[in-house]
Amino acid sequence: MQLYGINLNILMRFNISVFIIFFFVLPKMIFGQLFFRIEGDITVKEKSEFQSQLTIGKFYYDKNIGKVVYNISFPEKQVMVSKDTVLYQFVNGELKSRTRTFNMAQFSIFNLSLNNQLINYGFEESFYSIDNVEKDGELVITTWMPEKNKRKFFGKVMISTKNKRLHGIVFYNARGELAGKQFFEDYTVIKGLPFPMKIVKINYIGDIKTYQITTFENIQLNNLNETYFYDYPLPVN
Amino acid sequence: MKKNLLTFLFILFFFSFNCFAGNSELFTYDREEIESTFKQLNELENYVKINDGVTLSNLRAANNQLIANLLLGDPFSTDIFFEEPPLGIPSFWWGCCIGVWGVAIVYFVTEDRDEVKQAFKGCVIGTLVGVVLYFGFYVWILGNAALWY
Repeated sequence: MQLYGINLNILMRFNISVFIIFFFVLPKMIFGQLFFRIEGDITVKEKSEFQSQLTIGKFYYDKNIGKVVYNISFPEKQVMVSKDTVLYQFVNGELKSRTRTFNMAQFSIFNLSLNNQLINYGFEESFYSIDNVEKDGELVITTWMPEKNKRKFFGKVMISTKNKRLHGIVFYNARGELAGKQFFEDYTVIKGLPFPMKIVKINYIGDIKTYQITTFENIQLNNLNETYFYDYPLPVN
Repeated sequence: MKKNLLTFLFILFFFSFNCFAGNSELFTYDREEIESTFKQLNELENYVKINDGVTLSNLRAANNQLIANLLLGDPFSTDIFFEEPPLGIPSFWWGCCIGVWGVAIVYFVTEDRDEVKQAFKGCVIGTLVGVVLYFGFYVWILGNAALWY
């Protein structure tokens, strides 16, 4: 098809490519670069049959640095830093303990939010794959299954979204028993980034249930005035 | 014929209803139960937020009634974290005893830079000790041989 000597087929194909780049690829790339820092007030309350816990403080996370830093004021003043698979505890600026743990930063709500991966809780980047998708009322429920060789240790995970935002996660153990639930509530939009201000977590160990409520306040993005806590100094050795 | 058609429609309706009965019930929890469970902790949270800078030690020292019935634990107890190196053997000894292979095992099992450093230190020291013992052994043998002649 020609118009004034121009091949319209080529033009249309070019236009579709430009459309895809501008409306689908570029926004994702720009969004990924747009937000790189997040901080705010955090309160974690935990209650089990045996004990209660209350933790109040501030959190800092810069995805380019990769440290999750908690400046805690209650129960006692201390700074906790999670970097790679090590959790550091500082009291009065001095290293009190260093413990090996799982990589907290990668699957933290801070990293997932900044990378726009909260909607599937980062499972897209894991050894899980989608097994089923269903719609039930307002919820879109996706069932994720681990790779076959990992099913001996990991169970299925169901993730529900509501209004294109993460609503809840249901975890099962390898035996198919309910292991835990998480709910993401009270979303607020900060500079275009949706963030849940409340997370309710319920863990099941047999008949015993433990509850955890995490609430956030005063969320700030890309605060360049704060440098110390985002890159809290860690011991070299 | 009419009866059969009605039965068919009824079955169709019943089954279609069941097919769409989903899992949304799983994504619910008892909000009232949570509220009552966290009542005391909520009171403590409000108190701590109003009295900026107060710590658990301060509350214990003041015998504050808000914590009287709460068994407050340490949220950063190391019990919940894995401290064990591979097979419970310290990373240093992995490197010291089986050298580069030990460092590799520690690297792949722990994926922890600090643990790998320990294993590497063990590897270097183990190698040095091995070299010293090797030469020491020959010096001892040659020394003894010289004495015999």
